[in-house]
Amino acid sequence: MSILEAEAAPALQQRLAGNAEGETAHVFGEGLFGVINHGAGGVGRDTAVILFNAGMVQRSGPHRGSVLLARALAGHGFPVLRFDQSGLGDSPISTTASADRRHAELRAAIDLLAAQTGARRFVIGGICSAADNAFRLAAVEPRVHGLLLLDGLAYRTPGYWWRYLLPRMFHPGKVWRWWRQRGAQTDMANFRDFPTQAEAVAQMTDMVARDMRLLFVFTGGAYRYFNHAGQLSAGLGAAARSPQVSLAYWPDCDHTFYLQRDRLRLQDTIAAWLEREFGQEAD
Amino acid sequence: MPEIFYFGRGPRTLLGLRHPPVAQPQSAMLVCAPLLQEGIRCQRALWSLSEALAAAGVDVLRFDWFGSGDSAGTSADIDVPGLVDDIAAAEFLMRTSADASQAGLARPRLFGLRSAALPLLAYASARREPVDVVLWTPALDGRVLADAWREQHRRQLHTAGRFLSADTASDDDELLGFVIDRDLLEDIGAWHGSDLLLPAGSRLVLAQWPASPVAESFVDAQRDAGVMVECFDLDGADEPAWDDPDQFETQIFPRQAVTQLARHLAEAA
Repeated sequence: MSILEAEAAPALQQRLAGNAEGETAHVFGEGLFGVINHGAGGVGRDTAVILFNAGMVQRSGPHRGSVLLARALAGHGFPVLRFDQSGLGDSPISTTASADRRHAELRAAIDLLAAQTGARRFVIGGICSAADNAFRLAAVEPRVHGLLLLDGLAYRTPGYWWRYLLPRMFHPGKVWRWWRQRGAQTDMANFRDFPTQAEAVAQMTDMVARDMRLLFVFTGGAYRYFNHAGQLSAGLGAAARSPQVSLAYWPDCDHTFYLQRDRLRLQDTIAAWLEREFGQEAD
Repeated sequence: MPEIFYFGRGPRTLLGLRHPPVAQPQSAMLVCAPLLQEGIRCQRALWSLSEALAAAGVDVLRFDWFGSGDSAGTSADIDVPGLVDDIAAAEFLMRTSADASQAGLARPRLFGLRSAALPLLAYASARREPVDVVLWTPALDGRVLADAWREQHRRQLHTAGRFLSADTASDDDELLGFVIDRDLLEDIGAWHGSDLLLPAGSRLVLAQWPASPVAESFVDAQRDAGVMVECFDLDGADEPAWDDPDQFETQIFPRQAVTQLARHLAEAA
């Protein structure tokens, strides 16, 4: 085996703290496992990103998308921590059943990232349930300055139903299929942890008042609850129209960014948003 | 608690996760995850299996293939010689670790799930001395595996309801949500388990659900080569729907089988 040639043996016996991509592996908090992608050398950003698990998927993300996103953002100088929340990926199930367990995990993640990179502002988020977690935690964690919500929360509005039903009204077969399957279909919204719409509107208002920056990206994978860019403010109130809130709607993209073109589009969009909103050092 | 670290040489650094035994180790095992999407889907099941084995006194190492998970590289860097090299590097690390030498452990047992079986067999069959291998519902025909991956990719693009438009296309070098080397499928297709014979005197455990296609020719070929083969049947109740396009993104965690397999392997250790 070529790799086991004698000259390689000493190197192969060693455990390394980091890899060739500028990443380091960590165990922190109550045994949580994570990897930090350190930003490009010398850029000295004061803002770092934390990506949560997407559903039950480990920290690398669907189709390894979180790794690729983290590497892209680190290339722009923004350090990124991807970690497994308790009970997911490589992290053990938490022994504490405390209601603020997820917040304690976020605090531990921020402490680690601050100590490792010197960052003082934190952007949190991810896909689907990661976005739901981030939206809820941002309300209670003052060090969070930005939210990255990929197929995050939204609320069906009259406009949604109009856009959903109108095309189907002229296709009796579609109406029949919808009626027949209406109770049996797996609806992503059923698995989500959205606050009530009134709570979400109040939280949005509060976060915008705190000058938090929010990026919503909705894909075609969210079509069962989101089907038009205007639905965001219709569902989340006037705060969703404020300059602090950015929105991208990509109906041609799927929920987990299966295609390389969509992963690259996402990386470019988030990097540009971070540069715009967090490119300048905080006072 | 598991230990997390990197290992490897130069740019080919791999992420390793060691599940140390709770007591004096009785044996060691290197766990190889399936490739691409199944590797992501099976991660927690292999974590759970490794934790159970560590609790029973087995020193377990899991790792991410180069270009996968938290290891360096991109999925386009995955190639057949590299997969074999990754196993070699991980096995070498285990064999030469201070823990292994202190405990007087022999070479680690090699464990592979589904598509991990092919690079694992390619590695093990090239060895001169007997090896101890466990294959869990292995993919043993590279051509069948490559065709199944192509078909699943087609379904994800056009029929699984992933995209609002059924006409969505991918680039030629994309497969199952990853960019891959264009030669990878052809190279994997050239592998056939029955041609990858373990050294005489090796031991092989083949863990399968009853409904899985019986790899009779593979077992016969290995036995003819002087390999002791044990076929271990798993309870069929929780066999995953591996190729169901509607469950392509869901986690695979057959708890019953993981428990059964962990108990069996711990007893053997």
